[in-house]
Amino acid sequence: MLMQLGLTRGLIYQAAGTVLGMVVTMVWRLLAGMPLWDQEVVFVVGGLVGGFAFMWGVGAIDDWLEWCRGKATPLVHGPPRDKPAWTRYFSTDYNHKVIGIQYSVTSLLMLMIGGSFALIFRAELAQADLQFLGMGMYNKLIGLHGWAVIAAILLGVGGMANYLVPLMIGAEDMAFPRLNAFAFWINVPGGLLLLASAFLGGFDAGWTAYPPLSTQGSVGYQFLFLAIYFVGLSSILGSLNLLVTILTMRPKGMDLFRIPIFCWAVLATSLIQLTATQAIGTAFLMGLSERALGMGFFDPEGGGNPILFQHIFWFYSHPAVYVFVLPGLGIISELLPVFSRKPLFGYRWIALSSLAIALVGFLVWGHHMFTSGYSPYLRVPFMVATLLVAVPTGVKFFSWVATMWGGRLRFPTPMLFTLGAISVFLLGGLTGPILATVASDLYLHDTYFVVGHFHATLFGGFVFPFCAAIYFWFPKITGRMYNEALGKLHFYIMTPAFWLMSIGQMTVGTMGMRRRIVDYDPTLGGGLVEARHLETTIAAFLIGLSILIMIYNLVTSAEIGVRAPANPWRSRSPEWQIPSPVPEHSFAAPLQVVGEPYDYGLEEEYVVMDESQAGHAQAH
Amino acid sequence: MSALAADAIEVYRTATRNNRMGMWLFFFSELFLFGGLLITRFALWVDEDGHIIRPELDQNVGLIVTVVLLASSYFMNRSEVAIANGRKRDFLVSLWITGFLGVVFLLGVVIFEWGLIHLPFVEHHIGPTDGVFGAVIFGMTGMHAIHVITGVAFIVVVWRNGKRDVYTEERHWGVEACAIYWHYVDLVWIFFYPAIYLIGHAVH
Amino acid sequence: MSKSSPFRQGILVGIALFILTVIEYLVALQTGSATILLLLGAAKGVLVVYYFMHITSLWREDEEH
Ligand SMILES: [Cu+2]
Repeated sequence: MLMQLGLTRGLIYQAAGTVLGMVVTMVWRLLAGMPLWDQEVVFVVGGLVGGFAFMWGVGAIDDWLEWCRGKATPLVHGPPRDKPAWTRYFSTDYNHKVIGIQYSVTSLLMLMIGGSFALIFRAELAQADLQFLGMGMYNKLIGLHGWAVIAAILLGVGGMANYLVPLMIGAEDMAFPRLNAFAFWINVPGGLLLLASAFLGGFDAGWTAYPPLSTQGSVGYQFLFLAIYFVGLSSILGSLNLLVTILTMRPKGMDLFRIPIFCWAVLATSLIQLTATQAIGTAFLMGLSERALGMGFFDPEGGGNPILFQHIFWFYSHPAVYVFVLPGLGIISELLPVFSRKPLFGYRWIALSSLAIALVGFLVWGHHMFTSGYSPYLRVPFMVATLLVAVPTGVKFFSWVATMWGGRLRFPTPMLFTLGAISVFLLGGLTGPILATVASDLYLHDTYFVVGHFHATLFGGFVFPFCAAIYFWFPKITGRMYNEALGKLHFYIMTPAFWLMSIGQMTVGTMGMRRRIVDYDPTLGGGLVEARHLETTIAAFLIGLSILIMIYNLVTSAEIGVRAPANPWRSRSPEWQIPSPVPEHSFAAPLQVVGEPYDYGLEEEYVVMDESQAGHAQAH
Repeated sequence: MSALAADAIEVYRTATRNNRMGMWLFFFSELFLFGGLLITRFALWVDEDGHIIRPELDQNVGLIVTVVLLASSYFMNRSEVAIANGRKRDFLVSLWITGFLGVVFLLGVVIFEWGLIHLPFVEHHIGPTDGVFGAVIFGMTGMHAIHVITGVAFIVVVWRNGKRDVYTEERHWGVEACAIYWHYVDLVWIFFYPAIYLIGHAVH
Repeated sequence: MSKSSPFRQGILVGIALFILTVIEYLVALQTGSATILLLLGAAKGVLVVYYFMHITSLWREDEEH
């Protein structure tokens, strides 16, 4: 049974491929007259070959290999014939709904792994002095926490986009279903390499992996570079797919300003992912080749420049923040009208603000480098550009408030998380300009204030909306309702805990607590720093507990929850006009657009199914 | 043409339009990879006064491989035009020449520029470990060479399928994809060639 | 349009690319100016993108080769 799963085959192939790659490299080195063992080269080739072997083993490239041999492979939708239906979730499957679930579940898994790393070092920080973590271990854990959670967020974004976008625009599937499966599965060898790097000494320069630390540290960095290359490939291919889907697969009459607003967020996100991801790939590839082949891009000895790495790295990593939050902000805009029973205020402004955030986001990377020693005259343009981002973001806040204003609000769990997201994102957003301003950043750079800022941004922009989305679409996905009491419990633990944690982080930052340092002086902040740290640690554990409550809720409700009606939230969006759970072929007939997506309170529908064309959608 | 066949052609055309957009988006994405390498070149190859410099390289090698790659692009175009006009023989021959020229380009880079294969009459190579000159040359030409290799593999696949009559005048997306990919690889080199060989004043 | 015209067009573009490359080379013997050489490169790039890669087929509905 186990061997029938693509995942098992992939893992075996990856292990074999890694060993094979390493052995071939060593043999080749022997033949070329070099010493047999060079850990840098051997591990890189092994990791690379192993990654592609995984893709081969899992079956994600089977159809393409057939195409290379000149054979057409018809796209078969549906559960596997000779195996139980659940096995499709562990094998290559081309249905976007299956892939969306695969992404989301993997995301939750990575989120918990990354979160537990944080809990370990949070426990260490609860008291001054060293307790149970060594300095090196602490440094490795913060790097791993960072990248594991970033990978989780990228997966979560992919999950929401893959599941929802085709349903929201009434498309049968994504434009390129095979590419879609490939883009998901490449994350698995990527994630494994990332975690495996811990066994090769890890990476101890934080998630940013700046040279010269990263070009001189342990060989674990090579696995980090490779892992992010794989995960980045997933981002690029996935976003390409989403762009083509949104641009070409809408039904007649659904012009771009009539698609559900979440699709606009995905559009803007995908533009960033498609392009900026190449930059971090380039930066990490240069780091990789500097280590493996001695190519001195960042080594000042031969004329290299370590600051160049920072430029290329942040050219991705700042816009990446918008990759993390824009879909979440889209979820907020999507859910507020449903629970306010009012039209979304300023649809066009919201749609264009996502695009504006994405585009301005390309011009602000230098705000991470105010203290790096680059030309001082670069500081002001980067500061001004960064402050500009507040304008389109402000547009969103105004629209959210105006959407709720005078509405008939209901407060089931998804709505609570939406409001929680707004409050937390506001906290993250308002601390942004403080860090964007050169004068204050010179003091706050690399302190815990920065940590507090971006955790608030990412919780408000991703974690809270992701929870809202999970609860909101859970009935559509499983056909059962989640447990409302447990959902509310999750919310009422996580939200105050998060506020406590975030404010605690920011406070110790202003007291002078540095980021990425295992110990601190207990006399900081007039002796109050230790108490703030203890509160922050307790809050972090409470957040962890609340996530476990959600997992318990989801798992049990999928089995024993009350059967969900087709449209429990009375939403106008297309995915709610079809049965719960969504049938294999989502729409029985092509959609016809007859109204506006957010005209809550009006009789007229947004979309209807063109019954005369029923069955035509599946003709090919 | 029967109604069913006309329907099938329409489906194929729609799929091709999507494929084409996907391919171009991929090129757009790769633009940032090659652009990043170009920026690296202009950021690192400067002297103390900020003047752009370049290493002393064998100009003949640069010019010859560039012309070879351009010629291959011409034959690739000829090949695609041929299949669209139903000239199967011309299509296959041009494709074969394209692949051959691609291999010549690769050999030119690998033997004469990288010096990976030692020949008695070729000497003075920059290695990857030779400071920023070596790093950037090997970074740029290496990344480009990876794309040339995949392009040649693509050509081999299309050529084999072409021999088996997989492509017709109406349906030859495979050929088109291969062609625009190959032209894209050429396009990258159009900017890499001056950046590596021509721009700035040579220093030893 | 006669059937041979796309073939002839290909040859013309190929020749133009060749000439531009030679010009690049000759210019570089005189000056290493990044502006001039990148502009020449851009001219070649436009030829390739427009004639060889038919970028217009992205938005033109009924393109016939
Ligand atoms: Cu930033």
